[in-house]
Amino acid sequence: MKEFHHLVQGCAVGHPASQKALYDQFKSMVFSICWRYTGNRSEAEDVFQEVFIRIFQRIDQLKDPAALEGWIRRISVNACLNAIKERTKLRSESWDESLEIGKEDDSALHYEDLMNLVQKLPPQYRLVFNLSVIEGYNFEEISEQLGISESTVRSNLHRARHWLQEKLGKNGY
Amino acid sequence: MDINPKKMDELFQRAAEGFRPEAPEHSWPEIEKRIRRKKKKGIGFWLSIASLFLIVGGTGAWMGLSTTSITPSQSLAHQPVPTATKGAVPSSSSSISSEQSSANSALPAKPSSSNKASAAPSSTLLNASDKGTVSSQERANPRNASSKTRLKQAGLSKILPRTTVATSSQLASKSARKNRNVRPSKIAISGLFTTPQVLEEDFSKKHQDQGSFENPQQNPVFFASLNSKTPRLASQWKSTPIEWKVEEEPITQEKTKKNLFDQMPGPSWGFVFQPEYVNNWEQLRSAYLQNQNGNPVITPVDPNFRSSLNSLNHNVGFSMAVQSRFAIDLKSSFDLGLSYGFRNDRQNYFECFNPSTGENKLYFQPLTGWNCTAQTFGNTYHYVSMPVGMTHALTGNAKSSGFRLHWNLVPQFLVAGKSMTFDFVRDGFVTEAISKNDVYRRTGLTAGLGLGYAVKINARSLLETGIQWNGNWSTMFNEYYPVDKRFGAIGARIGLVFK
Repeated sequence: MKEFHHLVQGCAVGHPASQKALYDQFKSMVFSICWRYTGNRSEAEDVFQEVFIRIFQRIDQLKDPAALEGWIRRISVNACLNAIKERTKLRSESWDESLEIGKEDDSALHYEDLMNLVQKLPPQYRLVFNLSVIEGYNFEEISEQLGISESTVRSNLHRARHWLQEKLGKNGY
Repeated sequence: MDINPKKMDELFQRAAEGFRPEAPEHSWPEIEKRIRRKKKKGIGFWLSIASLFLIVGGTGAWMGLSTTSITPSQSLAHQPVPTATKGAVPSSSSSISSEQSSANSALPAKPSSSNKASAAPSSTLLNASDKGTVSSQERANPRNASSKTRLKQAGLSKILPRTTVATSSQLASKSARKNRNVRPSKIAISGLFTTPQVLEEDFSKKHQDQGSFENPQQNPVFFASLNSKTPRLASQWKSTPIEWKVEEEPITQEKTKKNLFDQMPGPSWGFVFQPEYVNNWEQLRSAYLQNQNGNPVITPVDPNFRSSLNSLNHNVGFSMAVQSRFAIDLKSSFDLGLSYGFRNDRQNYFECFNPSTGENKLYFQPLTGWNCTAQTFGNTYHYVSMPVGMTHALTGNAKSSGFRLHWNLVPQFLVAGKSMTFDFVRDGFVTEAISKNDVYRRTGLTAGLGLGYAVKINARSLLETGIQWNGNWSTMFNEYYPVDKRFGAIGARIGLVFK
């Protein structure tokens, strides 16, 4: 990870070429996370920009350049969660509302299709599923992050899994 | 159809890893623009800080210059044996040139039989009788006189050890330093700048003798924490609505448990180094004082036992403090510190000679009708105190930008060692350098109240600026006398907090 070391050093001193290189290196991963959590492209683009602004502002605090990828991933996830919280606040939604299942279109299930399938989960299910299954957080941590009880986390994850299982089953997985 | 949940999870994990949607093309220019914009703002910020330093430093320099300009106009000493006519010249008309004053360097030695304080023991006065041991050669050229004799002539015998000058504690020159009411104004890097405003001074009737060399120090009103990993700060970081967004630590079981602890107020420890430049505007009020036998020991300048003047000290020093901050909530903290300070000051005084009586005195103002020469001496001293205070964020929280309200109380139950070095400067040359160690006790209270604005530089650093007012009520005891003091100061402050 020597290249990350130089990249981090360059970004820490505000070197434009290093910043661009870091952006090019991680833009796909970051956008993937943003898109996966927010569920729509326009919101993902907004959060995507915020994530990189935050990365460049705080990269001087990164002590271990080898942990750059994980660090960026965490920033991305947190930025997405914040954006979702803000949106939820603006719309005055509660975690128990709008649990409608999206329309399904699961004829060809490749990676993108699988991710599209996740997008069709209600926001609360999607968040819990992403945090638990993709990011690997435990119930207690998710509970703290989202401000909901652990039992709600368990319930939402169970429902998300059940719903996805059904869809996958229909497609022969 | 049921799918193994474990396999399904793995499937989605692989999908998440492999799924790389096309990032928006137009994002980078926008991100770059926003990064550059923030950097420009940073330059403006530092320019404003530099301007603030210039203003503060310029004010201090101006204050210093305005004082030192007094010196040549007061150069009336070293006159030849004066005549009654010369003695009638009031000090306010001290327009004799420095050339004249330097040319006339002989000190008068004629004793005075009409001294107002003649009823007092001779040792309590710096009058003609003190000069009995001065040789004619020394009278003719005081610069060649012995250190002890010169001190007597200058009215500074008190700074000699008692074993050297048995009655030094009762010399009149000491009275001249009594009851100074000091109004500190501080210009500080990471410290204080205060301009003076005397409130009140009270003299205690019970005090029998003399005043003080004491230069009351404003204990540091600003303390910075350098510790970034305390539970209390972590709690703020975690719990603040704004900062909630930037949690970048890996979420672990330990972290979750720690957060429970973070919610509780806890101590943080810090260290502060505070170099500072202090200007003390002093208001001196002399009083008709009596020694233990009830005899007058100083001729009052004012028949009502009081007179006033302004004097200016130049203090350069620093203070260091180890302190703890206890979070009360996200906005407030209780501060408790242990501070050590070092100061070196240059203080103005006047060597005055009464042409009609031949009396010689050291005083902090030119005496009317006397020939007075402006002089300076230096003090070097150390002090220790234990400041207690509170900081409250009016806007934002304790680690973000916003307005701050500070108050602090500095109980002064301290015993301090004061190592003084007196450099007597005459016509720009150090003619005497004397060291003396003194110990004094001080009981009292300094209260400070300030309003400021904090600017967050980064996650660990905070720049604090503001206006601070300090009031002091204290009684000081040294080896000779107690002194009651009340004074206040108002000023600006600037400091850095590292967390």
